[in-house]
Amino acid sequence: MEDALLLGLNTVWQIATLGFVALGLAIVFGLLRIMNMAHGEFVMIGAYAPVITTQLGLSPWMQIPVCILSIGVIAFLCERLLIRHFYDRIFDSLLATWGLSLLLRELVELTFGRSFQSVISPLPGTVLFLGINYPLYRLVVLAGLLIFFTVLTIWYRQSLTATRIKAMVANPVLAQAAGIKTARLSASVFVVGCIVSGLSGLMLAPLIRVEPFIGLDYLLRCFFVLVLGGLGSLEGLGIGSVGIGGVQTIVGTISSQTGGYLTILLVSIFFLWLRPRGIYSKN
Amino acid sequence: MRGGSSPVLAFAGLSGGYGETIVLQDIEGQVASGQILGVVGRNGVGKTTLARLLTGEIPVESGVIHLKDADVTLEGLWRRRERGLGYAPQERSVFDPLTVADNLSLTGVDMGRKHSRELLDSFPKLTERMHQLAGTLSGGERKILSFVRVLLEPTRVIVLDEPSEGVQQENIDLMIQHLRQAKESGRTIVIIEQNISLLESVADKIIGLDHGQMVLSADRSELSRTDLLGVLEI
Repeated sequence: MEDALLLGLNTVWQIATLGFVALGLAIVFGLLRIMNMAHGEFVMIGAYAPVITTQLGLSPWMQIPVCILSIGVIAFLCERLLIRHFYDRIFDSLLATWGLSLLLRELVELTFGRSFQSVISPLPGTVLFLGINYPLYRLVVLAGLLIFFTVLTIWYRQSLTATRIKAMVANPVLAQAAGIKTARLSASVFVVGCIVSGLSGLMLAPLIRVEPFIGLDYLLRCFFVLVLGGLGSLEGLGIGSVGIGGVQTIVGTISSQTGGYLTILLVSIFFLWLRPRGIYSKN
Repeated sequence: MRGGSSPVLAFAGLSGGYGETIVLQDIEGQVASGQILGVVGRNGVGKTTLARLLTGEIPVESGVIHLKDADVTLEGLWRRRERGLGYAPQERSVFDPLTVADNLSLTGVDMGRKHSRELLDSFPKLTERMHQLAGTLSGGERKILSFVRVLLEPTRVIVLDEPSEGVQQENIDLMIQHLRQAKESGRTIVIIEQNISLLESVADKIIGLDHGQMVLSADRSELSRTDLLGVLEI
């Protein structure tokens, strides 16, 4: 019984964190049609935020502002200098952002070296939850993600800004004709998407080896999420996260990590082949 | 007829198209405050291209466009909208994944205002479908939604591309009524249409196009129905 509960909690953890990590890609790729191959690098840079904060001698509470500020500046510059020339050029954007991913990885390697960094959990230890001992940090993050996705869903359904984003995605020409400054809105959406990616890296930092090459794994799994769920909606993101995160955790626990990864790879190939728009696609 | 002598929207020597293909050549016209300029012609003669050039949706190859004394020739769609130019395109004229209400409130229009309510209430089928996705409306209903949206926006100049296409006659009559009201309030309108009756009802000036060239340009009062039908039958 305890094993089943532990598996259940770990599955929920995988689904929620994968959903958050994939959200940044869902925003940039799903809404702006920028096939952001540098998504994993923004996750990676976010994971370095605690390292930067420590090196600057700042309080651990400054990790979130440092993450938002550093990713925000990098994303803003990337959008201004590179990304804005690739809206509506999806395959060109793949090549451009692939180059960007190499550049960002090299810059991080130059700054922090190739060796991995350890990040201490801000909330160490375990607590008794539903009769089992479970890491406190994971439980707090899960609660935070629950609140975050609830607020995001309400905002996306009801706010004027979200309506304008949906209008821009659906019909950019008409959006401009209706007075929406699509260039500025696209830039804002890109920066926000990258910041979300960075925050997901910050969230994972205490649980992973922080090194310059961690981005690739996240990039692939996030693409699997979008392939399965479909682009352009929070519902698709949810379905994709449940499918990929759930399958990988359950199969990985029953067999091995390799088995879990192989299974989600096969699921993704199956969907690309037979249902390329995913289970729930608005685009 | 209201309207001052100085044109609000003027264009001359206008040529343009898509990439290497020039669709329109040497088109000119002007329209003052409180006036409606009608553009008539058969399918494929360049009417929609003219709308796209005037609104900045596509770049001008040569010629000039002035909007309220400013040279807007090189400006894009959004910049011209900022200057007060509204646009209801012929195709993809609504935001399909948004509800009718969201389509209308997108630009921050106060739907509670008397003018907004009167305009909306005159199209009861639209008010009945406020929470329906615009993509599920019929072709005619989409046209009405696009028409209402552009009239609700706080713009002084409006370009309407085939607003009556697929719309029932009773609703076309309502459109004519609202266009007359818009004229009386001093708005300037360019209507691209094949519906001769609509143009006869509201236009002050008419230009006719054929094969990308201007073949007619005159005040409405100088033109007979035969003249207008002639442009459609060239």
